[in-house]
Amino acid sequence: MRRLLRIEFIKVRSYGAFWIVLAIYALIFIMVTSTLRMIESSLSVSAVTFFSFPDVWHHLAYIASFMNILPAILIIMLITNEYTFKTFRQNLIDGLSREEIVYSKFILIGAVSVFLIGLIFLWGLVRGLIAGHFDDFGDVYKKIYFLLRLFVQMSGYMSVAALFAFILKRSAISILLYLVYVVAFERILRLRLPDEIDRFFPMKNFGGLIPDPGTIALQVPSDGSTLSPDAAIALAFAYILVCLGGCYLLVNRSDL
Amino acid sequence: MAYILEAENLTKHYGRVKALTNFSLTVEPGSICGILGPNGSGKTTCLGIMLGAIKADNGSYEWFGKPASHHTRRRRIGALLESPNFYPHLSGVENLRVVAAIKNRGSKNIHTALQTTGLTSRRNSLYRTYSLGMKQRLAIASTLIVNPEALVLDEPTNGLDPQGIAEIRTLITEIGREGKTIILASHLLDEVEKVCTHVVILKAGDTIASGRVSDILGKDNQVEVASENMEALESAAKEISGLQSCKKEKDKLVLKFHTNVNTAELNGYFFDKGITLSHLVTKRKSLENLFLELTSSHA
Repeated sequence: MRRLLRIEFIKVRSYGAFWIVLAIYALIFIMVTSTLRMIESSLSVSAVTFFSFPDVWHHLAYIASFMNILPAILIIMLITNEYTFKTFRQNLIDGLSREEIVYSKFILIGAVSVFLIGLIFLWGLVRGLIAGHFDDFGDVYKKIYFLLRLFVQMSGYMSVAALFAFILKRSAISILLYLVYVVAFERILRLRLPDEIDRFFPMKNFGGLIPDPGTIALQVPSDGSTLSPDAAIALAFAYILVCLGGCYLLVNRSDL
Repeated sequence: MAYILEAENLTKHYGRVKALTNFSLTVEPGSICGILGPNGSGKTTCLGIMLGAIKADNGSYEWFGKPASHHTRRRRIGALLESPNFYPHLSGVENLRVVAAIKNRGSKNIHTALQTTGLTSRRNSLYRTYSLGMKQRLAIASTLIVNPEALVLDEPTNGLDPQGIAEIRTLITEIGREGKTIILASHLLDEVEKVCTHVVILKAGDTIASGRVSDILGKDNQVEVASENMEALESAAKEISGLQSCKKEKDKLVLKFHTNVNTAELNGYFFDKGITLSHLVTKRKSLENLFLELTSSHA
């Protein structure tokens, strides 16, 4: 696994587009969380207590949950590039197995998630300490599990993106169809279905991992339209595994 | 270890297109095996199958005496398939680092590989700025960074200028002299003739000839002769035993023999008949002629 991570790192280390997308993500995230009006319009939370520990982790994770499409597009680019440049074929000839080709991309997904969430953690920590709205130092880490849920959510978005990329092999069409699915198709499908069924849909399920902090604050009782957090995490992991398996079947059956 | 590579009855059809039919090949250690055929004859398909990139419909192959389905065996091979495939946004040296990491080797050979292929001065330039010849050289460099036990090269001199072609051929011959096994696909007949010890000739996916280059080339011998008195020469030539054919070409006579011919004896024979030769040259049949002959007879 370390070897695969190292291979992926050499591939992206001096790939400008990769770092530009990550920089855009960081920039948008910092801008949004620094603009009081945007916070108050998107969350039902007072901007004054936004960076208060321990709720800051929930707030930041919720803001980040709207931005998962960006790293997902990045993953599509990185996978379809390998088809365009025929480098998957070369990797295979050089001695990577078909399993390793798929695993290395999922390891990359994990690494990108860890990197972005690390940035979010640092940002929350710095701003939280500056704001100083906490009584006990133990409060700082109390709701940090929201960042773990964000990890599952972000990796889930990227795993679905990887499946689109491995199926379609070309970047423009993969990105387009992925966006159509995430933004429109699943929602249209869900319109016709009752909540008991549509809460199992991947995007809806990923969304349910980090609920709106406002509704929690208002103690809105669960209406059954989303799964319980534990069930949602388990289902999200299942979806990631299904994507991994799907990608593996695709790569294993075809000529590269 | 008997064979470096043993392939049996490899077959691959794309719909109705028969890319490769019942291709078999054994490669002994230390030999340089050429796979020769026109464009679209199945060379890349057969190498692609043996390198794991293409799934065969039928047949089996073994590298180093073991079934090659396991990818780690490919790490002992340096391979270049079809066009050079690298990451355009990485420099030459970074692309080689990717290959070294895949093959699980350190990067200590990268420097020598770049030097051998003459890319040292451009090693830090992005791959997309390389000329076609440089791309091809980088592909060859990538096959060398592991000190491979076997080299598989598909059209290695594609896109190179005459000097580059000569350099690569020298390189291949040198590597072969070190005792490494090389499998070389080419549509350039004289490349195979100059470099290879064994040859397989493909046409539309079918194997139409295979064996030692010297055997395939030495099947019949040709001699060109000329003299002041061509009529006397021709009638005398037709009486030689073991003559297969006698053809007039411009101001020369091309004699084909069934067996190897001794030019000194031939000269003496004509001299005894009172004919002085002004021209006597043995002509090794070029692979090109052979190739045209073989392919046309199978058309």
